Amino acid sequence: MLDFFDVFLVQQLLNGLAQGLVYALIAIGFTLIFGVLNVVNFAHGEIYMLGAFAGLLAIQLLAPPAFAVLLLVAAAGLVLGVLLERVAFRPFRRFNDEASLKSKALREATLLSSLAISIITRELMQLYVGADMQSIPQAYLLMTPIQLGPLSIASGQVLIFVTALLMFLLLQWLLFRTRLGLSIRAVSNNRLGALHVGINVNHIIIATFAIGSLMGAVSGIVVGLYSGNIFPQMGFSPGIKAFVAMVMGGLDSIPGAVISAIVLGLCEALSTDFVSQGWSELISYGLLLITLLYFPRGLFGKKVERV
Amino acid sequence: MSETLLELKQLSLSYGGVHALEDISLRLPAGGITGLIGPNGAGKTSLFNVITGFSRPSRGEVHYAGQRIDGLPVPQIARQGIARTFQNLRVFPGMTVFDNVSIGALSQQRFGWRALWSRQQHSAQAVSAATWAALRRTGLDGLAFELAANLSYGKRKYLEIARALALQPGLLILDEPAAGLNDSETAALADFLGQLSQEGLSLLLVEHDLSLVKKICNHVLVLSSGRLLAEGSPEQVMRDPAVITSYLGSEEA
Repeated sequence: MLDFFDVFLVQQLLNGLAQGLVYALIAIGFTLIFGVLNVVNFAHGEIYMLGAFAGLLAIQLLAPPAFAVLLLVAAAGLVLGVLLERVAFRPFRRFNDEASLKSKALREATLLSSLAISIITRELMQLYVGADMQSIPQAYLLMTPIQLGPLSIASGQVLIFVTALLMFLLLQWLLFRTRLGLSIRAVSNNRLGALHVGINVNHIIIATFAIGSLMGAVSGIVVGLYSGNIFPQMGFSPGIKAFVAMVMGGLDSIPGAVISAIVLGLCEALSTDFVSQGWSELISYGLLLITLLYFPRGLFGKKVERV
Repeated sequence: MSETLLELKQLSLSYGGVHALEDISLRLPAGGITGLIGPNGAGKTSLFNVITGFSRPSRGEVHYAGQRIDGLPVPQIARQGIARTFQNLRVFPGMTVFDNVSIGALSQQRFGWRALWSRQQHSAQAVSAATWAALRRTGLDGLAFELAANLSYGKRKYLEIARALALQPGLLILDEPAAGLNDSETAALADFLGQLSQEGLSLLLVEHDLSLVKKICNHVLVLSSGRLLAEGSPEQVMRDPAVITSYLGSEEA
């Protein structure tokens, strides 16, 4: 059946899908956090980077099996998320009244504080480990090619597919089948309403950061294991792409963000090969521009009022 | 008077130099419908905010069912039995009617942190029973799996009441329940609130529609400039000269 397709094209689509799924994992964290706080968390890309470094540290110190590396990074992501919320977001949530919730000044202050944390983290990491690429030890690298007929997939890409799928399923289960998920959705829908129905909004916001950061950190190490290189700047570009996916997806739609992220990944892979390397960035931002111009609510934005 | 459900003792609330509430003391008996009226800016919403824990009083105490509750966090007061609806509705538009109401029912279940991660199963029956009861009580059971955003304004009002009822409150506080409703809807709402009260729920409501207040309330509180101006039966209060000058008079003039 592959005869109908150019094998090269299918290969590129697979690569693009893997890249898109990475963006999607990051974009989910963005979208979750934006949902409960209505604020963009600019430090999310740094959680991705720190997740990769936490994995490297675990490998260097403990040399555990690869599966345990993922679990340790997930735990690190959880802790980092809670810390991030405490340092960059909580100080701006002293007031709960409607005027403060809608206040642009408070929102911008929160946004800038997360940007500041992001820059500080990146710079500190550069001072501490240097700006150079750090290599993942050979034994942990997931670059073994797996042949599927004429196609070849790296084992790291398989890991990306599996991790992404698992995380999507877990997230759906969490959001729609657990009390925590119900509470997260309630807080995203109307924070004051949730508060008055007996939901401890602060706990829910912390939990949301923990979950979003867990996904971000895990995607960082998964990409690290696949690409073999990690460095303090590594979170920047995927962070921006995930942000683009969130905006394209309509800011508050997780499926929208996931689909947009995959589309971005596919477009990048195709443009790299059929146009030239330099075009891939241009195409992502072009897509964002077109979305904003013609679909100001994003491709999947719901038409419900937000508070 | 029957036993006291809610008691305010010398309650004051000020923001900077502005006194939103000044030295308010009152007892709300269990059972019955109490109306809270007063001109705009009289402090009605401030009073609700203090009772539900949203604002912390500058002075004074709030007691509910024999326990002091001022200073407690909002969610805890909600779980202790004071539920609230809002003038600007605060339903969860992107969730189904059932999920909206089940949030209230879930809050009434006592869980620890661990239960957050567990499936709803062990309490599922209690939650679902409480949710369905509240949905049937408000006539929303046929719309249970509709998104709240798709409901009409009137239905959304009932949804907010259903969500509050699912908390199984002892006191239901309603902020202008009839605002935005037409005459027949208002009459239906009045009947509904009367039934709730007969079933033993105490209600406290802010309402500008004085004929509605006269019709359903058996006790009326009048606030003016943050002070309790008068209280008593609707007939008593509306004959009170001080009330007529400060509120009714100014409205009719």
